[in-house]
Amino acid sequence: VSSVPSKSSGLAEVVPIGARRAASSRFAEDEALVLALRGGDRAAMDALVDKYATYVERVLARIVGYDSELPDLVHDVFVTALDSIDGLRQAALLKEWLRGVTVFVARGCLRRRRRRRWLTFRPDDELPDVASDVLPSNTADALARLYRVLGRMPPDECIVFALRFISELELAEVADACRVSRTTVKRRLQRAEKRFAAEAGRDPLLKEWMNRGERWKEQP
Amino acid sequence: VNGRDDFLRDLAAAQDEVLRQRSIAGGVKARVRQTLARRTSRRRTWLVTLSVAAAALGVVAIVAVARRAPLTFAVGDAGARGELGAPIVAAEAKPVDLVFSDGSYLALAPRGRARVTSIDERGAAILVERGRADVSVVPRKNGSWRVEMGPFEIHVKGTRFSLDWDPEAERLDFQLHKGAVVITAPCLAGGRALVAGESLQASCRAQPPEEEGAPAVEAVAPPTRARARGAAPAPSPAWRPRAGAQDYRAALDAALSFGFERELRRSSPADLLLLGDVARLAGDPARAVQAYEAARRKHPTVDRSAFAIGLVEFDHRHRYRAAADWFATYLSEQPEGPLAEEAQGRLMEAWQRAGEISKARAVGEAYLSRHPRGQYADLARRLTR
Repeated sequence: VSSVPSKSSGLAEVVPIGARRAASSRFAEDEALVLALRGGDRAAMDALVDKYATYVERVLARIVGYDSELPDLVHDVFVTALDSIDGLRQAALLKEWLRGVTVFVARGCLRRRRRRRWLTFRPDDELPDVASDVLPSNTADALARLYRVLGRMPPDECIVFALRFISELELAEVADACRVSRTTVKRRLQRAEKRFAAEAGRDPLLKEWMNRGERWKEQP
Repeated sequence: VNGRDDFLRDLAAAQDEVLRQRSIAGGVKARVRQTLARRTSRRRTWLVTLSVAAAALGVVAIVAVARRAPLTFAVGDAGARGELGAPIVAAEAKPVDLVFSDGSYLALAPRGRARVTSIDERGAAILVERGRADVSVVPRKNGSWRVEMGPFEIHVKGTRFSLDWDPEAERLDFQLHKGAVVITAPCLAGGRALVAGESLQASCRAQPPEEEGAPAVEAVAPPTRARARGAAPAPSPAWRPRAGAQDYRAALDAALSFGFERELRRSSPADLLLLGDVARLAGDPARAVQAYEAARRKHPTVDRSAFAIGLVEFDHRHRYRAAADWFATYLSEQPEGPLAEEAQGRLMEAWQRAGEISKARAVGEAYLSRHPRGQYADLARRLTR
């Protein structure tokens, strides 16, 4: 008796190939990984971090910038994700779901920073050190200034701007990550773009960088 | 058009450089583990504190469970409350649905006739007197459902299936879509265990004198429903349902105890692919390749066998040149196959990891022209930049 229900790829029923390589061969596929995570498997937790820590770190860095708080945020993303893994409906979409969790954690961070700045009257022009020993000083400075401008924007606008223009996600992906409709993303993007152009245009160094391309170039 | 600009692209690339050199991802695992361990310890403290209250609540819970109400069911579009034992008849051109309070249902096709003969908190017994029915039973712990047609009984825990019962010919035509069932009847000695995708066509009507006593079971067939009149059905290997339940280690163990080599010989190409997946996901790359290669021997261009071997070489053995060869083979065999994008991306990455940057770049260019927004587009752009 031979009976294997299968779709055209033959792999679909049991092993969808959406997932990329993993540190642990046991959990090379996201479905196997999610199944094991739901069963409380510690090795699966390690595999999840191995597989996605770099990705989560990059998404966070795109939104909040690279600074000393980043390790805490990556940690928070994984703890939040592991706490709510039962809420993931399609195991094959683990990466997209994790991106949504990352955006959630990043939003909390941006809001916290805004509150802190307001409560402590921290000077707004203080620049974080963005790895000046890794990058040429001009680039490191521009990067720091970019995130200072983004940090002044409302968190929801900052997030859509960073995901769309820095991470280069599609509108649908941004909407999915932010758990809002495309229309809302478009509306936020319009506002964010306007605000960013105005704010960044006031910074001489960023203005210089912006004038290198066409999109953000100052109109005569 | 994504609206991205050189200025932001340059700064994103600079940020990537920082992340490459200062990535903190490696230290996260230990911290996450610590946090979870702390929580477990805190939870333990809470558990001790709450145990007394839980004991008291337990008494209440036991009483509640003991009094758990039996299931109910509704009949037809109007959702009329169903009555135990009352006949349910589908009109000439209109099906009737029986919907149970746990979400299980039976859709009785036109001209069908059935009745619910018993019901309790664990499930129900349904007698199909005539016609076709689609049945879906919601799986529950201790669930117990039974569907009867003439001499046939289907024992169900949680599953979805279709049946067609012809009382005049005493003939059952059964198809299992999901889960597993056991069908019993006097003419099915020991019953028949079926797993998803299998079908059974059977009749227990007495045979002509020369075949008296022999059951008229026609076939237990795979989804293609190939008939084998008179042929005894082969036993269903235990690994397949376990693979369906994604318990790959158990499935592989079952295949090994059943005889892995024997399975390689007797299985169809599709089964061999599945067996290869089972071995691969259970962490046994050697057996995975054995199964995939057996599938290729039986059917040289079977579906995705080349891709699957490439995956094993890439993910498990880290032999990137071999992986590249297999992904290229897949692409030549199935240039428009469902895994073509993934295969092309993997091919590019395999060449990159093998240090063949010019080959990786060439594949990257081809990839970008076909999949500018694909999941490997970032890598392709980095390589072709």
